[in-house]
Amino acid sequence: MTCKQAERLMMRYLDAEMTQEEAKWLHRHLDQCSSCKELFLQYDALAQMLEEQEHPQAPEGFEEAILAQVAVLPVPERKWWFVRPNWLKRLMGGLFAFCLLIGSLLVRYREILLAELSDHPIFGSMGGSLAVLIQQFNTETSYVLDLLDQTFRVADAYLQSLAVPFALALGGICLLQVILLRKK
Amino acid sequence: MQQTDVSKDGENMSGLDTKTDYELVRESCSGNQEAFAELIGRYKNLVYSVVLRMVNDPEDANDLAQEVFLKIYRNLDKYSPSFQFSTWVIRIATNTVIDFRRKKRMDMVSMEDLSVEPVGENSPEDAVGRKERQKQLKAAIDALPEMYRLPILLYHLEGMSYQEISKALKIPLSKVKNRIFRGRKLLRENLFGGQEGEKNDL
Repeated sequence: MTCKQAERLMMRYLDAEMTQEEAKWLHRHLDQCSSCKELFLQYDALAQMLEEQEHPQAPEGFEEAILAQVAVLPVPERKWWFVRPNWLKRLMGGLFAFCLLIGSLLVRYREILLAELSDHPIFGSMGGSLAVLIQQFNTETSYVLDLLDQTFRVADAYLQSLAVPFALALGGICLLQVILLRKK
Repeated sequence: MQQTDVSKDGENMSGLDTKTDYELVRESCSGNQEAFAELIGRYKNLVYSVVLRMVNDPEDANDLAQEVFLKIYRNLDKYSPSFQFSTWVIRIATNTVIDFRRKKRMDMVSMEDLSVEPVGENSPEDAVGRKERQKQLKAAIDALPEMYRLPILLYHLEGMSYQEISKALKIPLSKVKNRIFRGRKLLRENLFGGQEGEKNDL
């Protein structure tokens, strides 16, 4: 072990993170190298002195002084519906995406779903009135639904060829985000 | 802890010290002064000691520490629990000290800091008693360039971890480690002389 390495180990000692192995190595070096031994004793003394350092206390009446000045300030308006814990933001984002997915699937396959529902004993009767509602909805919003259907058909056509590269691109973007956020 | 205001709900007061920092922040934003007082109480010593060690004057330190908490109050709505409150507090405190120094034109002082003179001819073991050692250590810490002094005192005197210091000062972890190592070396050289009793220049 070089003296430079020994000094690095002494730093680990000062961090209080030295393992048993490292302690043994250092000890062995210190037995052989008197200048490093001196160095270590100095670092040890330094560590003790740092521990002994007293902690300055804030003066008396600190809180009162601040509260007096705070009293004339406007209360910070916490728009806390904007600032939420991270997990809540992620959950809401996920829920939103999920609902969007379910909604688009329902619209896409509504006729098949209704057909299945009308066969079902309990829902069948409900399905009947529901079908009337759907009819009304269809006629009133036929334009929008036609557009949607057209989009889906076009999407289906292209989906075959574009699916894989699209998925890869999406995956790549997600990976990039993870890497970038980690670095932060 | 004495409160200047009489609390409207006595039961509320006793629950305050069990609340998390984030809960206290939210209550302070609803106008609850006792909640903010509790927050001040929790972090006043941390802020005061860090600031005092950076500017060395108790009066300035007191003023600055108060200013730090006022800044905290004004920006409470910006605090996000994704990081620790202490990290945020330290960040505001160090920025406040930097602004203060800039205004006071303390930049010249850092040039002097660069020459690390040994504090005394005697090593601290010779010195009489703990007080003397503490005085010497304090002088040695003050002699450190700010770049090294801040991480050293945050780590050794305030007990923050490398991670916390890295987040608070917005410096990469490796830099924090390097500065602490360098700071320790400088302190040792200052207090005990170089190896073989030589004086070492920076």
